Amino acid sequence: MSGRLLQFAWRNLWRNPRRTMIAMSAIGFGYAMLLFVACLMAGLRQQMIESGTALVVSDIQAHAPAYFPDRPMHQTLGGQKGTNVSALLATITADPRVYAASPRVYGYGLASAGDQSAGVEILGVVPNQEQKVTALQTRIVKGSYLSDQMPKGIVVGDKFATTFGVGIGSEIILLTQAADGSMGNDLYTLVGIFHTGLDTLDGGLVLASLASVQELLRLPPVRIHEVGIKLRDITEASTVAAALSVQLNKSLPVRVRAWPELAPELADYVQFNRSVTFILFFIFFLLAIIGIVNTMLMAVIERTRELGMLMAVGMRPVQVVGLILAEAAGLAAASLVLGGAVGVPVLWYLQVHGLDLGSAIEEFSLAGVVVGRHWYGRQDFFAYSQAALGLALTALMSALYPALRAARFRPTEALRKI
Amino acid sequence: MRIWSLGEENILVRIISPPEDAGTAILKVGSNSWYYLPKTKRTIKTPASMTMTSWMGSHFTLDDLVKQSYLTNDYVITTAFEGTRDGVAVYEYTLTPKPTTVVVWGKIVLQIRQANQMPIWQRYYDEDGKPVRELTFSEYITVKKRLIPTRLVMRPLNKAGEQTVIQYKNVNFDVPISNDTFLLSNLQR
Repeated sequence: MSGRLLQFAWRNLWRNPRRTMIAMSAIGFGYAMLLFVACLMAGLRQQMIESGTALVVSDIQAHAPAYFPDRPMHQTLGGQKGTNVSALLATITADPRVYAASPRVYGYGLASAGDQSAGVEILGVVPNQEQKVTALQTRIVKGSYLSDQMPKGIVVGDKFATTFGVGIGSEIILLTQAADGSMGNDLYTLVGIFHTGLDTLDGGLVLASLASVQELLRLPPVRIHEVGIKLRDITEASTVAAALSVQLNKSLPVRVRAWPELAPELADYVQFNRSVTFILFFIFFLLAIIGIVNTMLMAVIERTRELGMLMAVGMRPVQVVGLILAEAAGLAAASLVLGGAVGVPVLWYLQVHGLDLGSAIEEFSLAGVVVGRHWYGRQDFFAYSQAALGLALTALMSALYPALRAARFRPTEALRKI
Repeated sequence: MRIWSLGEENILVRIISPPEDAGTAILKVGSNSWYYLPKTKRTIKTPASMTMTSWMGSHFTLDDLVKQSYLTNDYVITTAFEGTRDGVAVYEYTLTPKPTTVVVWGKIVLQIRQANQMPIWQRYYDEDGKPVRELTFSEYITVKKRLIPTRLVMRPLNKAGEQTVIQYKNVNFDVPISNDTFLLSNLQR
């Protein structure tokens, strides 16, 4: 295909500017729509991954091999003897991709206040370390997060507080099966109430200091269940988890898991979201085929005489095919530019301001994570280029039939047509 | 542990050792039960969920400990077998929970020696009809003309080699107990 052919094709496109413009705006608008959808879908994925990991889970967790997902109390890191926690944390944070790491202890038991009691998950954390890894402190609605000044302070969700009828300063008893078989129990003071929108957390999670939960469970300070790890870039989670696994296993047996393994329903949702995006792309491509076939077929039939004459003066059928395909490619390229021009400001708006879902929706939870009132977009350049490439290929494929039809014209017959 | 009981309604359990749990007391009056936790100096009402799970790391549940007397109320009892097993004349009863009874068992089978009406074993089945655990009674002694088993062994049938033994070291009947013993305010003595 020579440059002259492309020039020729481009000029042909603009010989009927109205038809070309209509086709272009249809395809271009479609492309802009795809950009819009892809951007929102990517934003939803990102928001879900962030809120699903940021509140409690963290990006990566390290456990003793038999600990996750059943969380038996005795399966602490380093086994019955425990491990040097600060050395373990130092090894993890030595990786430059790791932002912070935080030791945790889990207990399952009964919380009781007044006449009320209910089963809860007790999470023991070191306040200043945990705040670097998770963002539950940003969801405190009353009181404050745990602090070293209040070693027996606890933080619970608003649903828990309502059911138990407790407020800041209330006494709460935690009762649990301790590691030595005895009944661990202690009296705590409520220092903070959080609201996440997730019922399992708001109604059933009790956050306390690491040392106090270890004491409640009668676990010595060297025994912890988990290290929560936050990365500088969450997209590297699986890679960093694999690297840490190799590094940590040199000193003690551990299993390091990235968030897709820790929250499989979240990973499933991300996969589902990608599939939906792809299906939308596919439907649009089908529509685009019909549009382009129609435009190009019209362009060919309308120019029967002209094409016949070109062939009569020596244009070979393969060159005719090339010409029509070049016209289709030109149409697609121009449409993509138009679509992009319309799309870019929209994408920018979605990323910066988000889509306001309206005051009727406070927040909604999906696959176990909360999505806020504003639905922010996120740039997914891979999807954008996929859409552009798919559209270009669609254009060429759908121009193939009109092009072949044109190539089969017999010059003598074609010239006789009006 | 020291246990006091009055009639079938009132039971008080106090734990004496080991030191970590000493002072813990459980009171059952009617269908309610309370825990006294000496470390926190607080009393909590035991939720239903807690009565059916492992009690203090053992194979017994709190329900086993303080609610046994309700077998006749909460179950429909049918005779499953009457005759000789291993040369001993026994009765075997099947206890099926009444529709209104909240229990985790599908049924309970109880074997009783005909000669002295003493329980030999009690097997607990889950809702699929599979045996889950077995309680065996032995070391029968007579106290004040009453024959009682003093050794209770609970074995989970899905975990080989595990068991919990309750051994009564000293049993007495007709001791003077006032109703005040079973007052909630008396729990944290």
